[in-house]
Amino acid sequence: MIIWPYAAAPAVAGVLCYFLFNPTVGIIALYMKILGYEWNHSLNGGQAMFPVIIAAAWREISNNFLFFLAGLQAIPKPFIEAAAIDGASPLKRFWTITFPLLSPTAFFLIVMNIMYAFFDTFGVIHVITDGGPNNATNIVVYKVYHDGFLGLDLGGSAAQSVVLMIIVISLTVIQFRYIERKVNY
Amino acid sequence: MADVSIKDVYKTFGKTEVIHGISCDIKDGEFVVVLGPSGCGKSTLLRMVAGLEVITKGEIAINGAVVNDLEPADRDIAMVFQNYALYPHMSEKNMAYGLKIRRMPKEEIEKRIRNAANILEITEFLDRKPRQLSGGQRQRVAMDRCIVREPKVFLFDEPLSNLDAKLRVQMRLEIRRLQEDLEVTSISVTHDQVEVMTLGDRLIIMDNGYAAQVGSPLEIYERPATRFVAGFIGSPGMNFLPVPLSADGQWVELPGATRLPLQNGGIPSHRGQEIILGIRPEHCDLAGEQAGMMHLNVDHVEILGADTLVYGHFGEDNALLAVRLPAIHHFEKNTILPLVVSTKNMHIFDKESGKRIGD
Repeated sequence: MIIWPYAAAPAVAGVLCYFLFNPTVGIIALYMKILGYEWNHSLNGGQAMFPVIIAAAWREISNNFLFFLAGLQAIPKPFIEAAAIDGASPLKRFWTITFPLLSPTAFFLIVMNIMYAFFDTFGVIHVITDGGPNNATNIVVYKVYHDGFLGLDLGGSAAQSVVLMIIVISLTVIQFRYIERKVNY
Repeated sequence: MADVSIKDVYKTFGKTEVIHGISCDIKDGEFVVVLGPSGCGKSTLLRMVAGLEVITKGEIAINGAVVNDLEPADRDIAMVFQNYALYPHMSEKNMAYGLKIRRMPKEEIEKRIRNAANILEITEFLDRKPRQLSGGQRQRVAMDRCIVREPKVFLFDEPLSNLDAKLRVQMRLEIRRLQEDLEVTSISVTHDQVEVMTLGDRLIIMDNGYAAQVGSPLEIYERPATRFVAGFIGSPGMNFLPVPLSADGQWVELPGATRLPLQNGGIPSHRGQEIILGIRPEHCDLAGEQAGMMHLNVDHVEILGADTLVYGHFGEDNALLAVRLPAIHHFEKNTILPLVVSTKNMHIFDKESGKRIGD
């Protein structure tokens, strides 16, 4: 059940959020109105990123959950038992033994999720906001598409995609250089 | 320093009962080894003492205080796991972990680690993570992690099974020396019977969830209480021959029609019945042609250097026999060896119950 969202296409996740947050028919928008909050993400640029984030994260959480579950199950029980004998409370055991032993999984997921955020959120944005309002959700990967295919500025679009690639590569390199040091295999 | 008392302990997993009532009093400073084949419940027993398994029925007390409902942390024990369970992301902190959690001052922790590292000579490995250590070094770190805690009881779960043969002998001596120096009550679990003979002050031999025998290694070697115990201790295992007991219970008839008189007035209670005669391979000796009680037809010879193991058969129904002879012998296949065995080294078991009978 928990992994079902991962089976949904990004666009489907986007449509789901689009309807939930839609100012006219959306149930979440309705409740917010009842609570006295004026919700209109198609006009308010500050609000527009929110449904995008929700849709993208909802789809990805299940995937992350699976990896963490696998990571948890791969931790041999004697470690936890040894810590219990050493006198650690369950919470302490989690923070000092389980959590560090999950760090390879966590590191892998950080890298993958950042790449996901840069590239695979395209469908979600396309469905929910089309990069608007007023470019508030126009992230680079969407802008590449928008400028290239809609604006027909192919040169600029190609240049932006190179910039995007450089950004992601350098982010990944930074992660491997500085975060991986703290990871225990 | 503590005594441990195990009183009529039972353990069930779901509907299966795996330990059917075990009792044992372990004195302060004693080293008790629990021995048995795989799946006999020995590890479960140890884990119940450690508090990692719930005790279904019965009582375990450390220093007189019942610990049934105490968390492992509150029992003041330390355990060496079979695969050591060293925290892979810590170096010397592995040893400090238990102390830090108990909020011991830093200087004291450092002092204890240095002392323990000196005892087992691992000072130069202190800053290494477990994956940078060899099997023997990991074993030492695991033991040091127990030593620094200065617990009331040491528990060892098959501590030597992951080491190669040479290291095993060395670590065995070291564990024994350490235990004697520190005088900490220790319980070890193993299926290695050499380990048992040398390590323990007292043994518990477990068979299928029951304690088949509790006693000193020599006692168990010399007077095994059941056929199971007799076959389990000693390598190669004891030879068992089903033989008839005479009508007056004074002698047995070996295959090959040799009569063997029994000591201490025989076994009148089982006269005329078939019994199991147990003879250890090392208690058979070569004899002159005339004096031989058994004439062994050699099948196979293993020369170990110090000893020679001879496997063969004898008598009309080809009873199998293994013999350990001192020094080196070269026997051809099908050589007939006359053998003697002294009556004082014979063990007699009831055929049905497998219990030791007679002397």
